[in-house]
Amino acid sequence: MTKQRIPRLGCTLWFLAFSTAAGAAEFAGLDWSGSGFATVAIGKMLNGVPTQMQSGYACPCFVSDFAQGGVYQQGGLQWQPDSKVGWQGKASLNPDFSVTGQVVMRAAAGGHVDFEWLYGNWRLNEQFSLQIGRKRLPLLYYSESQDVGFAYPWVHLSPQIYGWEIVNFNGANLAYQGQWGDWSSSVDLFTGSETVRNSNYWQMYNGRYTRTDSRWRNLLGADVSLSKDALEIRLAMMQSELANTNPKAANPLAFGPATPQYIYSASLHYEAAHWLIHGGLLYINRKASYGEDFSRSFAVGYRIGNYLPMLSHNRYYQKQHYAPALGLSPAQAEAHHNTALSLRYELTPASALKLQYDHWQNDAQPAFFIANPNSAVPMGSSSLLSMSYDLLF
Amino acid sequence: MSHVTYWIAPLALSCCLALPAQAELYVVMGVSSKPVQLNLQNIKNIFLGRINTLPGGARAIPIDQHDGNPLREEFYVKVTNLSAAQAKAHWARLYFTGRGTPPVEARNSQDIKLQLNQIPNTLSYLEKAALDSTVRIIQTIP
Repeated sequence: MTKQRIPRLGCTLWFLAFSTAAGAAEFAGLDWSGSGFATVAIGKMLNGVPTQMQSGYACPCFVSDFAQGGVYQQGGLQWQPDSKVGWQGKASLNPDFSVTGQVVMRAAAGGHVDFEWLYGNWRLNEQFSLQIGRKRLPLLYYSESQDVGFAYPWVHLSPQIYGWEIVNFNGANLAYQGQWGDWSSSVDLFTGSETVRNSNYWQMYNGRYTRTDSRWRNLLGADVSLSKDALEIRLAMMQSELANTNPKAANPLAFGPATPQYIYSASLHYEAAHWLIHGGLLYINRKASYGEDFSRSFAVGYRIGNYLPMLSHNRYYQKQHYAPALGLSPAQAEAHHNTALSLRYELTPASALKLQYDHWQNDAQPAFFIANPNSAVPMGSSSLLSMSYDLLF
Repeated sequence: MSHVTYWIAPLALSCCLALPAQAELYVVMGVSSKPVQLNLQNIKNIFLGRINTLPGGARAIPIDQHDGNPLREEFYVKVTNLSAAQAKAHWARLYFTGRGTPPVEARNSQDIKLQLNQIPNTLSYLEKAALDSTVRIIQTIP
């Protein structure tokens, strides 16, 4: 199954009909419950260092969401990159079986409605459940809740560590929840595949008006989440075969040869009454195709009443072991880091205002951009001021 | 700990909203539920969705006071070291990722007592003035 796009009106009506505001109802013998979330965000590029023209983008740019194509460009106030609204509905046939669906309408996608989640859940016993359908890949702490702005402190998550071409999968997930000594634990074992047509991610590299499809097959992974007191830790690993189409190839719709990838990640989240400390590491081994990717993020905040100011630092860099074969040098690998100052204010128990300043610094050599002339990944430095209103309903 | 029950008018939710910040709280279950022993860590884990079972393996069903009730804020601060808003953000992450369903919200303490005795293995928290013979105290939160 590919990423589903369905008519926005029908989908919206379907969910509104059965998903009351954080409420529940009974219809046709099923228990229905539902809730929604929304982010209204605006941002403006403050400055940047242009080095070349990018195909279709007014850069220097700030990429806030690689997977969904959220790109702030030069110009006035922009609301498309991070604004979105979503609904989640759950229909329970009985206490042991339910179907959950989540749709998200993104301004960055021109208002198209996407199914991010659609899966059946069988509760096998109090510890184990089996889920079959469409889910988010559970790699990092906020991976599955990336669309729910109210759930995290920033206007947008770190693009350095949360930005990949594929973030969903279709398949099966065996979930466990239990207690290991003093630690609460949850474990997922998942398998499946995903194909993204006309990838937003690859448009940023190949040109906005190009088409690239991405496919991850034979996906197999596991994640473990442990929590004790104020500390939560998530460890995840995943492997799959990946293949892309190439818009410059003779047949631009044909997938190239599949190569293996191995992804490892670790997240740490400490949140108490005042202090919030968050960190993440991501390592991707794609040596069979181009090399390795390294990402890390670290953030610290101190809550004062309803205010949460935070300082965040995120870094990404790539090693291209196969650079010579591609006609590149190792210095042509992509590399950048981002420093963000953010402030979250709890407006009501279910809504928050956020203000964020980002400074994105390029760490790659100019040769990288010469080798990638259509890339919208920021050249030089760029700064973005953004704010959002996030709510649950 | 001072007794402040005389501050609480018996008729309206608005009186619950006036509960002083340092009132004693009681984690309770219905008398019809099987007695269990829960420490503060167990209670925290249940109300944050980290575990979903009671000792013995039965499914735990937590019930919250209504959003905006100061009793709810006080419970979360004392038991989880998070504000009610932080707990809500935590639950948003779990709920919208299919990892759990947040506690059911009751209208008031009377509603909580009704649900505790209608649904087995439910647990919630009450102020001292709301305690009566229909509930069993599992833990006292000073």
